[in-house]
Amino acid sequence: MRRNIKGILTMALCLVLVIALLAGCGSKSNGSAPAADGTTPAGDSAKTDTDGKEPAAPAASDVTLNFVAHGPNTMTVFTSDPAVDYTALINQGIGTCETLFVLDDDTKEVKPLLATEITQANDTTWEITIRDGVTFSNGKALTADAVKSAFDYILTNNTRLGNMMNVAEILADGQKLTIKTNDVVAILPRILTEQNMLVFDTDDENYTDGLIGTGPFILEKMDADGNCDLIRNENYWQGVPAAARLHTLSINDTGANRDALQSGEIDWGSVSDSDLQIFENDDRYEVMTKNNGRVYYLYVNPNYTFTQDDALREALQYAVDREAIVAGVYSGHGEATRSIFPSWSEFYTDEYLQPEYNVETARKILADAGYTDSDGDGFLEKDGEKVVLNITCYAPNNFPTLSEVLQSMLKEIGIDSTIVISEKIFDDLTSGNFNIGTYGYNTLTLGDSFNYMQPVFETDASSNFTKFSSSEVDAALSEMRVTSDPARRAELVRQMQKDIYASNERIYIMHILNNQVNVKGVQNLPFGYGGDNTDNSVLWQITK
Amino acid sequence: MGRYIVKRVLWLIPIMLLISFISFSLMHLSPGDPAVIYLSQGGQSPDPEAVAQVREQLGLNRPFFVQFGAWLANLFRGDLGTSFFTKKPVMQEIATLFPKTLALTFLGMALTLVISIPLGILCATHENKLADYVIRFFSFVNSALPGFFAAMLLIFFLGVKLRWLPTVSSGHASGIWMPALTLALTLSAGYTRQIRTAIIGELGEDYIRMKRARGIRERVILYKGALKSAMPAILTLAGINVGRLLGGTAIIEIVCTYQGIGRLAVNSITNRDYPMMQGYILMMALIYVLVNLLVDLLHAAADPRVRNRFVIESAKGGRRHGKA
Repeated sequence: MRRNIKGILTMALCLVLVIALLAGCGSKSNGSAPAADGTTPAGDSAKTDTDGKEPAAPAASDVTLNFVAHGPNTMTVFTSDPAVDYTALINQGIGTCETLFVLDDDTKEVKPLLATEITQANDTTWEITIRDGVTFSNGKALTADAVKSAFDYILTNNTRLGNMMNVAEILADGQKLTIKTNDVVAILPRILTEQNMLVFDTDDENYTDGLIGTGPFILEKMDADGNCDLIRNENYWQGVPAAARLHTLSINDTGANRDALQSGEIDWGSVSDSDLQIFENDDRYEVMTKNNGRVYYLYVNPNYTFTQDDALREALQYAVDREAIVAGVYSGHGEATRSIFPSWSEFYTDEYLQPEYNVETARKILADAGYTDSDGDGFLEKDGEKVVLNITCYAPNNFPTLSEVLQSMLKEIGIDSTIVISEKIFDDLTSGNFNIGTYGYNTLTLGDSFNYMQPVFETDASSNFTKFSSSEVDAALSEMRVTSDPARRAELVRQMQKDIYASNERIYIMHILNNQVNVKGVQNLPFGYGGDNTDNSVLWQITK
Repeated sequence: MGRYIVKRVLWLIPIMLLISFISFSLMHLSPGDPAVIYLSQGGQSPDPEAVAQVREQLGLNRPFFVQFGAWLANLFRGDLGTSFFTKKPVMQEIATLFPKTLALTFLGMALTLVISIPLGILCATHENKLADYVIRFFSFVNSALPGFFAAMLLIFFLGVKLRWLPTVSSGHASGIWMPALTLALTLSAGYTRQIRTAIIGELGEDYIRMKRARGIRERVILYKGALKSAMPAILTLAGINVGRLLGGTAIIEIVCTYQGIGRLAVNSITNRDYPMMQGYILMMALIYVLVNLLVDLLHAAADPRVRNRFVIESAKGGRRHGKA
C-alpha cells in the first residue's frame, strides 16, 4: 500500500513538472530570477557582438529596464504599429525608433534629433532639413523620402495625428522635407516630437512586431506581452551605445513596479506616491521627481443647483486647503498651485492667481449671501433649503480620498456634500449633473498649453464640462490656432487666465510630481523613460 | 453513447448563437463609447470630430442588427474580427494568450490536487483528531483569504523577501509558478474539505463495512474503495473549476502580471473592445460546454450507472425523433 501512495505522489509530481516544463517552453526566457544581491544574474551579462568583434565602446553590463505601458495601460497584447496610439512607445521608449525633433527635458523647447532645422516658409508650409549621415539599423540611409513614406503611413492610419497635422501634401527632395498643411498648424514642430510621429523603414512591411528605425537599439525579440530583448545598434549615428543589451519588461502596475524594483528584477520603475517613501529611505535607490505640468483640479458647475450661485462658488475657492491635500492625500509628492500652470512654465503668471485658503473669508462670503444654519445641524441652508453638494470623482489618482478630504473642508464652512464615484467620469461630467467634479489633465502636452486650454475653456469644447464661455478667451484661442510665435502664444495664455479665474468654475489644487526610481548606478536614463514628452535622445548613453 | 455525444455537440450551435446575441446586445447597451475610450488613452479629452471619424472607422454608426449580422457573417467564415485597440485579429490575440491560461489552469489544478488529496485523506482517516482539526483550521483560514491577497502575500514572501520566484510573471519562464501557487493555495482549502467529506461519507457505506468484515486491509479499503468511489465527486469539482479557471483568473493574472486570457477579458470590457469581448465570450461558452461534456464522459467512464443512463437517454431521444 505504501508503494501505492508513493506511486500516486510520484505521478502527481511528474504531472506538475511536465506541465511546468510545457509552460516554460511557451514563454520567452529573457528575464531571470532575481539574484540575492539584487544584481542582474550572470546569465544576462554583457555580450560581444555576434561576429566576435569587441564592441567599439566599453561594454556596460546589461540593463534591464521596465517599459511602462503608458496610454493603453490596459492593453495586454502589444503591437509596434505606429498607427495604433501610444503603443509606439515600444519603438521610441526602447530606443529602436526616433522622431525628427524632441522636447528638451527641462525647458520643453523643441530641439533637433533626426532633423537639423525647421523653418516656416509661410502660414501653411514648413521646410525641414533631415540630418545627413543617419542610417536605419538595416544600413539604409535616412532621406526625406524615407521620412515622407513613414509619415504618409502614420497620418493616413492614425486619426488623431491625421487631424492634428492636417496635412495637404508632403514633398521630399534629397534631405529636404516640405510639409504643406490645409490650415495653419501653429505647433507643427511640437507635433513632430509626438511619440507616434516616428521615422521608420516602411519597406519592412511587418509593422506590428517591431519597426526598423534609426535608434540606438535594435529589437531582437518582442513577445506578445510586450517584453523586449534589444541589442545595441553598432552603427548608431550619435556613437556606439554604451549598453550592449537591454531587456525591457512590460509592467503596467505601479505595485508590480515596486515589487520588481525591490526584488532586483528591474533597474528602473515609476511607483505610486505612497510607495515612494520606501525608496527614499533606502540608499540602494535614487529617486527623482519632477513637475511636468500635470494638474489636479475641480470643476465647479454654475449650471447645477446650488453652485449656480456665484457667492457659493467664490466661497469654495477659499475653502480648499491645497497644502493639506498635497501633504495628506499625496504624501507631499505634489506642488500646491493656485494656477493652471507650474511656476516654471512660460504660461504661468502671478498677475492672475486663484484665492489663497482662508476659511473665515469663505464663511463671511456665505453669510453675506444669506446662507444660514437655521436648523442648527451644523450645515447651512439657503432660503430654507439645505445645501448639499455632489462631488463626482473617479477612482484613479487617489481622487476618492481627495474627495473625502474636500468633503471635510466643505464641512468646515458649513457645506454638506455627498461623494459619487464615477465609472465613466467623462460621460458623467459631460451630462452636467454634478456640483463639483475632480479631474486630472496634462496642461503641457507637447510642451504647449493649447491642447489643454482649447478643450477645457473654449465655448462648447469637449472637456468644458461647466460650459464656461468668454468671448476674450475664445478670441485668444482662435489667435493661438494661427500663431506660431511662442512669445505671443504665451502672452495670450497668460491673459486668458484673468477671465478663467474670475468665473470661479475651476479650482486648481496641485501639480502632481512624476517620479522615477532607479537602482543606483544606472546613468543617463531619461526622466520619464518610456513616457510622454520624454527626451530619449540620451538613451544611447545609458550605462549601469 | 456516440449519438449522445453528437446530440450534445449539435446543441452547441443554438447555444452559441443565443449567447452571442445576448452578449452583443448587452455590450451595446452598456454605457461607454469605444471611440471615446480609444481616443482618451493619453489622458486627453477627445475631439468630437475625431470621435465621429473613429466611430465611422469602427463601424459603430451602423444599426445594431447590421453590426451583429456582419459579425455573424464573419464568424461563419472563421473570422472573429479585429480588435478595436490593438488592430490585431481577435483570433490571433486569443490564440496567443489562451495557451498561457491553459498552462496556468492545469498547473494550478495539478498543484491543488497534490496538496488537497493527501490532506483530505489525512483529515478523513483522522476524523475529529488533532491532524483533522489543524488542517481544517488552516483550510478555513485559507478559504477566507481572497485570491488577490494570497497573491500579494506570495509575491512579498517568495518574490521580494526570499527571491525564489520572479515578482513579475510576464517575461520569465518561471513566471507561471507564482500565479499557479496562488491558485493552488486558494483552491486547495475547498478541495481538502470536499475530499475529506466525500471519503468520510464513503467510509460509512455498507460496502466498506463488508470489506472490513472480509478482513481487507484498511489501506486497501481506503485507496481502492473509498477514494475510488469518491473520485467522481472530485472529478466533477475539478471539471467545474477547470472550466471556470480557463475563463481566466483575472485578479490573480493582474496582481501577478501574468498575461492571460482573464486579463485580456477585463481589459476588453474596460476598453469596450466589442470584437475582443465577443470572441472571448464565444470561446468561453464553447469551453464550458465542452468541459461539461468531457466531465460527463469521464463520469460515464468511471461509473457504469451513468453510462447506462446516457444510453437510455440517447435511445429515448432517437425514438422521439423517429415518431416525429
